[in-house]
This record gives sequence, C-alpha cells and structure tokens, in this order.
Amino acid sequence: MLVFEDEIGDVAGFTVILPAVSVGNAGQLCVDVLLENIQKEKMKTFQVLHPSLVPVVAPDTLLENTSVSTALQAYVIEDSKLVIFQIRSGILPGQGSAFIADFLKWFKESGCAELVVVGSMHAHERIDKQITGTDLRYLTSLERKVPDDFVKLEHREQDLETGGEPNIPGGGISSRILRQCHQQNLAATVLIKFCSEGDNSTDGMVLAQYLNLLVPVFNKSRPKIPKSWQHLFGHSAPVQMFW
Amino acid sequence: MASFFGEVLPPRSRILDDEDLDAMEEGFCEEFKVTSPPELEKNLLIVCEGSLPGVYTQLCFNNIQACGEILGKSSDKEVSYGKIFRGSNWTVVTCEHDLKQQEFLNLGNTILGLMDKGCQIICLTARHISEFRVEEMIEDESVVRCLSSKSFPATDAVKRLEIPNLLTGLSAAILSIAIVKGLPCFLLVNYVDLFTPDSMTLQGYQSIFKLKCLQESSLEKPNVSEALKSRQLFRPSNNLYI
Repeated sequence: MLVFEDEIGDVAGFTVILPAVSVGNAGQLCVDVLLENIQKEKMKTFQVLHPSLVPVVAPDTLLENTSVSTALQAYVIEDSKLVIFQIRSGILPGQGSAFIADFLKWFKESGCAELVVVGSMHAHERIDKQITGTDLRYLTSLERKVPDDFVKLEHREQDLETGGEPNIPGGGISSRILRQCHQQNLAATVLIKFCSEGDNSTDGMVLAQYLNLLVPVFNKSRPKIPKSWQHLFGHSAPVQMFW
Repeated sequence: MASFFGEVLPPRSRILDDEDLDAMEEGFCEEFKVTSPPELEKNLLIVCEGSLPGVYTQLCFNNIQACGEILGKSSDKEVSYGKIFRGSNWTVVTCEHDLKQQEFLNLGNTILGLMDKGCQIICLTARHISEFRVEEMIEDESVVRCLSSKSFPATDAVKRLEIPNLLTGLSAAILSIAIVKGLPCFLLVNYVDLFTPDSMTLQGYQSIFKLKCLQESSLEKPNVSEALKSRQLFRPSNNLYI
C-alpha cells in the first residue's frame, strides 16, 4: 500500500497526474517541468513509500531548505485541484501490477476525479502513418472531451489481431494502468510522446506543454528548465587531461 | 554482455522495465530474521552499508564481538547478511553482503526493528567519486556529504549533498522509511577513489563525531592509521597508505 508521510487531506474531485517510467524517462521529465513552473507557495509536498519502487534519496530540488526527496512524492495544489506524483527511480521488475493495484486503490478511496498518466513510447515502434506529423498521442479509458488537435493512438496490426487496446511498447505501466481503469470504470487519460533514448529534456518539455493543453497546470508559454536537470550527463571533463 | 564474438545485442535501456523478464533477479531474499535478537536499542543505531563503514565502526569500539546476525534465505540456504554489535548505549549493524534491489526495503525494515522509540539512526555508506556530480571539483577536499530526516537534530557538521546527486541502496531505504515514519535519521556518504580501507578512505567517516549523539555515546573516535596498524586490518601489505 501507499504510505504517506502525513495526512494528505481531502483530494476528492482532484485530478491526479502520474508519470509512467518509460523510454527516455520522458514522463518523469515532464513532471519535473510541471513542478518547476508551479508556484512553490501553492504546493504541499508529501513523501510516499511503496515497496515496489527502488528506494532513492536526494536533496529536494524544489524547496530551498534541508528537505529530502524519496522515490515517490505527491504534490498537492489545492487551488488547481491537482495531485501530481513524481517517481524518481523505477518500478522493480515484476512489481508493476502490485504498484498499479495499490495506486488505483488509493485513487478510488480518495475519490479523485481523473487520472492523467504521462509517458512515452519507442519511436522505432511507430507504424508508417505515425512517422510524419505530431509525435504526441492520447488514449482514454472512458469518453472524454479533448482538444481538437489531439490525435488518438492508432491501433497496430498486432493489436487488431489480439482484439485488445493499443499496445504502448516502451511505455512502462501506461497500457496496464489504462486497462485497469477501463475495467474499474475509472476516468483515465494517457498522454504519450514517441521518443528514443538520449537527451530527452526536449521530450519532457514538449510533453509538459501537451499536458498543459488538457489540464491547465502552469501559465507560462515558455516553461522554465528545472534545476534538477543540471549536470544530467555528469560534470564537464577535467581540463587537466588536455594539458 | 555478449557471450560470443559477433553476437548482436539489443540496445540497453536506462529505464527499469518492470516487465523485462531478464531483469527479474532470482534468488533475492524476501524475508530476513535476526538471530538472538537483542533488547531494543533506545539511544543510537548505526547502520554500515558496505565494507568501508563496517571497518571504520569496528575501529570505534574495542574488541566487542558480534552479538547477533541478520540471516536471509537465498536459494534454500541461510546466508548471513549482516552482524550486530552492542555497546552500553549504541548498536552497530554492519552489512557487507551484496544486496539486490528487491532486498533494500525489506532489510531496512528488519534493521529498524532493532530500535525503540527515541533512538537516533545514523547510516554510513560509501560511493565512488565518479558518481559525485558538482559544478566544480575541489580535488584536495575529501568529499563527504549528508542527508537527514526532518526529525534529526539540525547540524552543520557535514555538508549537505548537492543537487542533482542521488543515492540508492540500503542506506537510502532506511532514510526513506525514517522520513515517512518520522524517525530521526542521518545518512553520511563518503565519496572515495578506492574501496580498500586505509587511512585516507576512512578519514571521511571521522565527521560523524561532530554529531552530538556520537559525542554522548561510548564509541571512541579512533586514530585511523594507528588503529588499522594495530589490528592489521589493512590489505594488501604493499598499500602505501596505512
């Protein structure tokens, strides 16, 4: 079960945003952008413990004090009726189902209105019609109004053969959580970006702006780059080696 | 890793895929038990992750034998994961076993089961200096950093770990549990060039004696070189640093 550091309060009717640990970590980078661009005074932070996540600790990137971030954090913004989760590590192999079950149990018991999962999908798994045009797609568990320029994720031949919902290769728990929400009649939307591994900071930015069209989170047209993205690929090479 | 010359390997992904069957580690221990569980520790619990902090803490107490062990079942065999040492007002748990990711939280919970309310927790660990990310490296400085839970008394004894560094492992698991449960916990990470215990690699841990809870305990701050020499704890004998 999800163990919160403190009582999270009444979040009935709130929209919950959850990143999927997926190719390029685009979903997690997207949440970094969201959190960097929301006013800190409006956010309440809670550390959350779940046995399915690899435990990590790090200095908090959003608060200037001595706070510590753990593997899973929840940020509650009451003004905007949002609960934003951030996963800073990954789900242990074989533990995805347990995490999904516990997360959706909390979601239902809290009376939250909608779940938005942000993630990514392998770019090399695109079908022909996905190679041109926008790299962004969406899926929903129930009928939901979306902006006109949003494109629904297309079925692939393999999905049609199995008669199931579109598969999301490299998407982590995205397709499984969507399937569970559909079965349990919970409102969920998955936002996906096609990407490959590398420097995925741009993917995170683009995904955050895409999410912002669906669920307004921040007001800026050009979001700030998160402080936690400094030295993403290590610090610069020592100049001594060129002497 | 390739098993033969010319084998084509799939690209490695930096994300953990929870559905990747190859990534599912076998033989990890789900349950741990403590042999001869001592009375609950009321003052100070020190957890040493890895060989370096384990050697250092043994220099801090003289000739005390382990009073218990932490055992886990791995492939139907009982394996020792850690040793427990007890003093008048402290308990030290050393864990030198190579742990799997699935074991961090379970072992962390077992270790925290040794403490009573009011006990302060100190976790000691080591990482290779190449894992430390910072704006500008000051080479002469021994790199020792800390993180602590809100309920641990505020201290400036050790510099706080800078963004964007992060830690995983047993110490991270214990600190995570402590944060969520409101327990006082202090984690010290010593960034070293080598994992061989010598006076240089162990020097970073001396900072813990700036903490009030260590000063009030019966543990003694060692002279690392002398203590290593007298216990012949340094290996190999051609090591220049004693």
